[in-house]
This record gives sequence, structure tokens and C-alpha cells, in this order.
Amino acid sequence: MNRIIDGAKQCRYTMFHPVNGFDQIKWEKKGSPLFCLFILAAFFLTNVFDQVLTGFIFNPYNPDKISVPSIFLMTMGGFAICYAANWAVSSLMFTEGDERNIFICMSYALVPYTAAELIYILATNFANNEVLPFLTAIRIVGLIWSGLILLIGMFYVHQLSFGKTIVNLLLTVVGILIILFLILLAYSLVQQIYTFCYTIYNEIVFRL
Amino acid sequence: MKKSAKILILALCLVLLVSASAMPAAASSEVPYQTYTYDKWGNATPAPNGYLPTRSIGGAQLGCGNFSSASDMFYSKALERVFIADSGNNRILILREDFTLEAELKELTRDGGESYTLSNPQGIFARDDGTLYICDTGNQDVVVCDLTGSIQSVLPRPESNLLPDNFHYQPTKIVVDKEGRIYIISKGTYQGLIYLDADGSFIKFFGPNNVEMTFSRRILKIWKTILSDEAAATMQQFNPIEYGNLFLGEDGYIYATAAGSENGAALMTKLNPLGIDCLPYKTSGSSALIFDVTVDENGITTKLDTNNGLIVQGDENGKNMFSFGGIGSQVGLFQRPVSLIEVRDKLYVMDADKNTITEFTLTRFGEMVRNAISLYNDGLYQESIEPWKEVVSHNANYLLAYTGLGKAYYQMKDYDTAMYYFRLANDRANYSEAFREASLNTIRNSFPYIVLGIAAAIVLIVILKRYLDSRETPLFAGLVRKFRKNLPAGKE
Repeated sequence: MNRIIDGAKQCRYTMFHPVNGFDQIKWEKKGSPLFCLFILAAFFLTNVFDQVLTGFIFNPYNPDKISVPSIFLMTMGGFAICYAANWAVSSLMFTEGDERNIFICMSYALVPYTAAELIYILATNFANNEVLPFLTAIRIVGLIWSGLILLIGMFYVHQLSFGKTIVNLLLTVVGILIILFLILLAYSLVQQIYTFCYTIYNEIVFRL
Repeated sequence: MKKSAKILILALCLVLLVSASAMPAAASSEVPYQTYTYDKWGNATPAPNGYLPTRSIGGAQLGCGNFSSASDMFYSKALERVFIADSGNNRILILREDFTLEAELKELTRDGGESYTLSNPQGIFARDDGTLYICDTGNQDVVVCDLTGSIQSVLPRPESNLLPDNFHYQPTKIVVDKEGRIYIISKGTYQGLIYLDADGSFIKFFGPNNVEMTFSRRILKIWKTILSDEAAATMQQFNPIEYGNLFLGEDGYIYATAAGSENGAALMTKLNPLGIDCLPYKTSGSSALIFDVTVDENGITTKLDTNNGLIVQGDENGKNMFSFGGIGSQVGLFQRPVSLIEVRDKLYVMDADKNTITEFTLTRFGEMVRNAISLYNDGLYQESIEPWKEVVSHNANYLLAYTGLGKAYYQMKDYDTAMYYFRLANDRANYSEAFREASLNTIRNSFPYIVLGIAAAIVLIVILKRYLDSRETPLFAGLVRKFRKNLPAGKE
């Protein structure tokens, strides 16, 4: 429990002092991966709230078509793929980032976005169309903040030069695409095998 | 047994006969189409019929021989006449409002007495004073005559430096505004409408459409910049969309439909006297080809979709009221509908392949909707609530009714009810307006209490401070001392 609270404190500190914060995470082993699971849960819930609790004026979603499992897959699956891709790319680039620090860094990067989104969702329930620019500003600030945290975090976790950090991130995007392609391939293969087995089963059943 | 069976059959025949004769032509029988509107997520949903096909009028019934690829109908409210351009028979038919034949114009007479033969007339327009404008497409001119067929003038191909050298004049549709200025669609002219002075001299091209930039065209444009000028010149040219049909609204705006477009968009423009499109909504994104349009004094727009044989009616903001019709051979369906007019709440559609005019009459449901819309447009907001509620009781999925109710309550300053109905209609923009007013009201109403509360708080603080200052030993002194004891040293 104490470790989680310490993790939360470290997270709060890192949001406002990312350089120092990630330095401590890297060298003093501060921060808690366990707490990062809470961040991920909050991220997932925020994405659900985004479709369910956003004020009517700003909510374009059809309530009949909201699917929590698919949101879960999009957020958690998406995070898992990004994490896996970055870890794989970092291993190939022989960086100093290990799986723990990459995980912490990527989860911390979700915090500003999640917080801004929660504020946005709360505000939409009391706002009309006239204050839309301000609401959009909140979201944009959250996104930029998240991007900065991710960039600085990657910079410290992997101990690369700034240019190489960018290259690392770009290669991560390529890695994500490759993983998606493989998933698609595996999915269609499994489907074909399933159809094949099902056909054989049918043939046997019809002949019995 | 045998006898009873015979009696039964006889009775059955009798019942059938009676029921068949008792049934009026088509009014109460099944219609061959399903009327639909759109629900709040844009899905087509079945709706009660707004119009029913009541009769089919052929040329033989009028007593003038069958139509032959008729291409245009025009209704003049002032003259109380319907005009039909019967292109295949090279004639103009003049009908009364109840669709009985009054005159047939085939041979027109010039001033000097010599005759003029129409050739494939495709467009017709009548001014309120009884002047007829006929697009005589075969002879490539526009004939101006009166109702008896004596020609006042013949407007030939316009001459101007602005017209391109290869200009091919083929007038198909015509509209004349209140000042007598003439707007003509010439087939194959993409520069816009041909805009003529009252005496027929060319002024300019009027209100051209935009060039449609589809994805393939954008790629082609990139190629054009790469290739040499000679090579680029041989490639496809990007021209604005050609106009297909015209309608002069009672408000003086010219409604023009596109003759077809690259990405199948159902284009319609509402041109103001400057030739600028001021339709408040977008029309696009379907396989429809809007061939004709008619707009009534309430802004209710009825469009004729030739590709799908559909009649689509919407209010002035483009919200769908009824969509009905289809391709087929029964009464109420079409093969190739080409022209649409509205005569005293009845719709008439000309089919160029079936060579008939189909009459559609408003149902009670349709009347209710129209009644409510016209009440609202007249500013009778409170009075429009009852009709709208009646509409909702017939069709709970009718979005237009909810929007109407919301607008009515909004105008009556009942913002909470308005919000309720706008939410049902999924009308976010209007909901936002109502919400803003409602929250302003809340702030306004509670403003005295807020001010009072702040004042009371200030007074309380001042009194409390005086009281505390007047005490010899501070309040909660023991508690404070106890708390301070626990603090780490040096911070006291």
C-alpha cells in the first residue's frame, strides 16, 4: 500500500518536474508499476465516460451502440501494442530502457490526457456551444502535456540523444503497424482454419 | 350439403363484388411504397404516409392523345393554369387546375399571320400576366407568346463576346423573374445560367456551380502540374457542374438542380439575385439525381429523385418530412419521372416513360404536419403545439415534430420543455441555445440570493472577528496549544 502511495506521489511530482522525476525513476528506482495499473484503469474509465457522461450538446455517440468491451480493447489493447512495440524497438536499438521504466513512462504519459479529459467531461455538462473553444483548449493542453511527458520520459528512460529518441518513437510507430499487420494476418488465418474445420465437421455430420 | 356450398360461393361472390365497387380507386387501398423518414441517427425508418397516389392522368383521358416524352410541367398560381411541354408531340398543353384540357398549342402565329411550328419544346414558363416563355429546343430559340398562341417575340441564340466560340445553344429550361429578366439553362453549358435582359440581350452567366473536386480529380490535378502543358491539355477538363432544372420560388429565389455530378451528390442550389447559393443546408451524399424541385410559400421543398423514383419532401431547413415512391409500374411508382409541380397541396409528377401524370393527395397525417409548420412560420407558436403533439401521437419517431415542439416552447420561453424536446429530436444546436437561456434564467433568478449570501457572509466574518478580538483569551486556545505541541521543533 505504501508503495502505491509513494508511486502516486512520484507521479504527481513527475507531472510538474518531469526531468527530475524520470531521473529519480531511472536511477533511484522510485515510482511504482503497481500504481501505473491504476492510471491505466483511470484511462480506460475516462474513455468510457467520454461516450457515456459527456454532456448532450457535445456527445455525438449513439447510446445504443456504445460497447464497453470494445472500448477496453481499444484502450488497453492499444496501450499493450504501443508498449510491446517500444520495448521491442528499444531492445533492437540497445538502449538502456528496461521494461519497468518503459511501462512507467508510458503510463505517466497518459495522466495529463486523462485528467484533461475528465475536466472536459465534467465541464461539458454545464456548458453550451459558446464555450466550445475553451473546452477544446483544455483537451489540447492535456494532449500537448502528455506528449511532452512521453518525450522527456523516453529521453531519460532510454538514455538516448534527443535525435535518437525521436527515431526511437518513429520506429515504435512502424513497430505498431507491423504488430497490427501480424494480428490481422493471424486473425484471418485462424478464421480460415476454423472454416476448414467446420466444413470437415459438416461433411462428417452429413455423411453419418 | 351441395346446396349450402353453392349458396356460400354465391354469397362470397356477392361480398367480393360489393367490396370491389365500394372501394374508391386507390385512396383506401394499399399503396405500392413505404413512406419513410429518418430517425435521429440518420437511419431510414417507416412512417405514416404523407401522400397517397389518387389518380393517374394520361393524355387520352384529357382528350388530346397520349403524351410523348413530355419533359416539363409548370403551374401558375395567378393564372390558375397548368402548362405541359409535351416534347415528343411538339406541343404545349394548357390545363385548368383540375387537370382538364383547355387548349393545345402546336402551331403558333406570328405578328404578320405566318405560322410557327414548335419543335421539341422542353421548357415552359408563364408570367403572371399570361405571357408564355417556351424553350423551343429543336429550333434553338425561346418563344414568347400569349395564352392563345400568338407570338410576341422569338428570342434567338444570344450574341455576346462572353460566349465561347464553340457555344452550342440548346435551351431546355427557363425562368423569368418579376422584372422580366430571363434565366435559361442551355444543355451542355457549365458556365452557369444564361442571364438575359427582358429584350433578350445577353447580360452574363448567372450563378455557376463549383467544380467538384473528387479524390481522383485531385490526383489528376497533381499529374497536370507535373506533365507539360500540351500533355495536360489533352487530359480531362475540370468544369463546374451543369444545371438541370429551374424553379422560381415565391420568395424570388431561383432553385436550381444539378444535371448530375461526379460523386453522385444530390445537388441543389438556391440562388439569390446576385447568383450566390444561399441554401441553409447541404444537399449531398447519395445516389440521388434531383431532377426537379418545387418550393411552396412555407419553404417546404419537394424534390424529385429520378434515379430512385423517389419524392423527397423536407422543410426549409432540409429536415426530412416524407420520402416515398420508387421504381415500378404501379400507380404511385415511376419509370422515369421528369417533372414535379404542386397545385393546392396536391403533387403532380410527370413520367416520361409511362407518359402519365400521377396525382398525389395529402393524407390527414400530411395535413397535420403542414398545418403545424405553417402555424409556426406564421409566428403562432403556442397554436402550433397542439398539431405537433397530434403528429407525435401518430408517429412517435417523427423528428420534425420534436424539433417543432422544441422551437415552439423556446419561443414561448419555456426553456426546460424546449430542452426536453430538442433532446428527443437530437437537435444539439437548438438544445444548446435553450440550455444557455435556461442557465441564464437560473443565474438571474438566484442572483439576489447569491448577493445576499455574500453580504451575510461578510457581516458574519466582521462580527466574529470583533467578538474574537474582544475576548481576553483567544478562542480554542487549548486546542491550538495541543496542536502546536505535535509539530516538529523549529516550526513553532
